[in-house]
Amino acid sequence: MNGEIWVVCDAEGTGLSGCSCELLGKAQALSEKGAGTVCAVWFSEIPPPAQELASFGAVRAYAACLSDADEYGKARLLARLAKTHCPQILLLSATVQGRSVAAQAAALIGTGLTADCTGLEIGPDGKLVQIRPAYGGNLMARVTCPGSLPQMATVRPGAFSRCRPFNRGCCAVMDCTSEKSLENPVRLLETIHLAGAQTALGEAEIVVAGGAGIGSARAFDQICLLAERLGGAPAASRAAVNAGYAPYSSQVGQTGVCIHPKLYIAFGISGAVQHLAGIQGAKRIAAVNTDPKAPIFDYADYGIVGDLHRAIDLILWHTS
Amino acid sequence: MKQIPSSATQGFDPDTNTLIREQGTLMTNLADVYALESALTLAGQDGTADVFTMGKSSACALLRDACALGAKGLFLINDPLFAGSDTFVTAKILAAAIKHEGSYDLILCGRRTLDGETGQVGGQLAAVLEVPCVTNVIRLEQSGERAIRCTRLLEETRQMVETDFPAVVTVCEGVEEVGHPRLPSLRGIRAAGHAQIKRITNETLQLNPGSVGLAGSFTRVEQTFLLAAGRRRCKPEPNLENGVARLLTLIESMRIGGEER
Repeated sequence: MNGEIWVVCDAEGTGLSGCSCELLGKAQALSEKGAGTVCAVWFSEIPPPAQELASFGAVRAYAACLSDADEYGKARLLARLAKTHCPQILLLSATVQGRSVAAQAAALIGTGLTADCTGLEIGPDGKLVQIRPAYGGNLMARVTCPGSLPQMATVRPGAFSRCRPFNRGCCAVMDCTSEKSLENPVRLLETIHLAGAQTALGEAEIVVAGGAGIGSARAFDQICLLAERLGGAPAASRAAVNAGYAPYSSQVGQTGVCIHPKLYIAFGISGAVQHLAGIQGAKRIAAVNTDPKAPIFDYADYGIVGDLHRAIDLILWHTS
Repeated sequence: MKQIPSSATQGFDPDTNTLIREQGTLMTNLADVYALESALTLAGQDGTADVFTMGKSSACALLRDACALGAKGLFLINDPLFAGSDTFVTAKILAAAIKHEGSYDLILCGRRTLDGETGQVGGQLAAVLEVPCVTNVIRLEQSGERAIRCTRLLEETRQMVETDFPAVVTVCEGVEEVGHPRLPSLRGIRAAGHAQIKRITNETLQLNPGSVGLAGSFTRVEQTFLLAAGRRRCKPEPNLENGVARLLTLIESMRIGGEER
């Protein structure tokens, strides 16, 4: 197929974000299966890092100078460019902003969109197969978009491994700034930086996580203390976040981050599949739960049946 | 708002590889409860909050619950033609229903449902209606006569943004800054019992039958499967002290680099 695979890339500092490198790496793998050539979409006030984009396999970059907060403008320009250039596949990172841009752009283009994919493949008919958790994360689903183009998906950060620069080619930059249309109707008033953000979680060697079983926000403070003591990062399951014990920024799993620490310690997490999908990349998984039948034990290397509060106290005492 | 199976929040049985499903138990999607709470707070004494839900007749229960809390207009979008709609088609149908019922200042949605978990309908709805969209909001307040000020939660930051009416805002669940969902009053519960629910079918909306439901959806779920990979099958240690001791040994060995491979 002679089409293009578009990857909407995000800036981090003056270069490519980690999520974007993951996506470009995956796009390259799809390209090698005959899905088309890899192109980057770069909407940022930071100039496109052409050399870096090239090193991750992008042969062309559709670039426009847009404010990072301008999801409205990004969605509209993306839709316009996609209608003009007709890419086969269009991928975005499933960050909060990426999802919003993707949803608006897909509706403006009039094509299907699959959220939060954890896997992408090329099917025997050359179509993109998008794999995502479904039904509350209890199942995985293979989704296709047979009747319309582009085949559009958001991909969960951390779902694919981050590749190293592999290419020595060059990336031709097409400046599309003049095609951008309206002023952003959503005015950015203030940006507040959060402590304990997800990037720390994505890169921590030890992650200490609490689930619904921790029972209180105070217990999550203990989880944070233990994480700090072990030189790691605290995390929470969706159930703990929903219950208000932990902040959303600490959520692992579906709609949260994927992580790949050397050790993951789960306290009071029963093991819903979307959470398990988020921790697949952990080298070692340890779990503490009062229920010996909790699904998490099936996916753990080390399991302890017992009261998590006592376990936390014991570890804290031994490491003090 | 959306009614979802409560099994969506439950796990599966690893022994039998089957979903744990309690037949027939339904609940209102959690983030939507927070969206309604925000709507009722913003509407206050002078405004009104209407609720739209797309689903089966069972979703009347959701509408009555919303009415008991203070929602005024109750709309059930229900037609066999709409079954199997993907997120884009759902957004198109919602947009058509909302337009049909007249004008609005603000559309609030949950930021995602717990069963589908796509979080796409809000953004798609905004695009179809050609209005701005603010997602993942944890706090919102009216700003002047015709604008809304929102605090959104992003991965590493919080953004405070402002946009004029009309707009779509998607609200996070379980975040207290939106406000704890209120409880129904006795008078509200009484009123809900005989409240009028308006059913909106495709006879009203007149959408092309080929453009809605499964037939109109671009995405196809080809296959579902259980996540089988990644099983490590440990034998849980029943003695807490022994287990903790083993864990500490492991942590210690990692610290001195013994786990590097």
